[in-house]
Amino acid sequence: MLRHTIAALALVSLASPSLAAAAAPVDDIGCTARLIWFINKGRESAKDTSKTEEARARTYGFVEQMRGALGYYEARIDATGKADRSQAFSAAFTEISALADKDHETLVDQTMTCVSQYEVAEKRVMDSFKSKKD
Amino acid sequence: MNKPAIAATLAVLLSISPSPAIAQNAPTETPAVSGGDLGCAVRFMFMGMTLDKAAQDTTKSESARTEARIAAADARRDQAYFLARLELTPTKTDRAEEGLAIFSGFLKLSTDEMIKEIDLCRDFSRQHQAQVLQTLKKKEAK
Repeated sequence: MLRHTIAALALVSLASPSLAAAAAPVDDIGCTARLIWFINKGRESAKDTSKTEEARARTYGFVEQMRGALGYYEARIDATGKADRSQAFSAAFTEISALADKDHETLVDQTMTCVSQYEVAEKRVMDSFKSKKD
Repeated sequence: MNKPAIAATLAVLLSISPSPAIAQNAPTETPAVSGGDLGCAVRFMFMGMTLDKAAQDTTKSESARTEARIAAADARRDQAYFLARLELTPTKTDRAEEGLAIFSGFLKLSTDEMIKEIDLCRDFSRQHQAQVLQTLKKKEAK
């Protein structure tokens, strides 16, 4: 379901530049940029009154999920210091725009990977809360 | 394999496992509540669950439920922030006892005290998230 919603939002996008490094692995800044991009798309879509109430609610749920993952990546970036990351972030957005235009499947896959990484990490930490005596 | 070769192999393996950034970047500054990052994660888990319940409570008005749902999403983002910080703290794989003790202590607080502590955690998380977002923005030419 999440993949379907992400894919639908990616299709909505219209953008340009050249398609560069589409298959490159996505780092924390890349994941943050992708999540922000999808959250913004999701918010626009959730406000679209031409869509059914159910579709809007689904999109809203998706935005909520993305926001959780965003907090995770922000903490990871935060831990690396306070350096200027604007160039890396701008490059990530240029790449996202190109992918959204020409290869939205890759963009969806990359974003799903970002979300999965967050979910795996979340589970790992949550598991550390469970008593080992059980 | 001779000793120097083993040492060299180990050095390479250690340098790539499992996530080099994690040990180097373990957070040093912590929020001012009992349990630090773990304490805040526990507080937001509690808050998220409470808000989820409120969002599903059909005896509440639609606007109150929507408000609770939005607040639950906010809490989840803050929770994720602290979970990531915990993940960046290496070698800690058993937090059950500590987490439970923090949770029990938290439940003994008055509602006002609970809110105050959650605010401290939220301020910490939001301030740091805002700083990160600031470093991502293009700087205006002066």
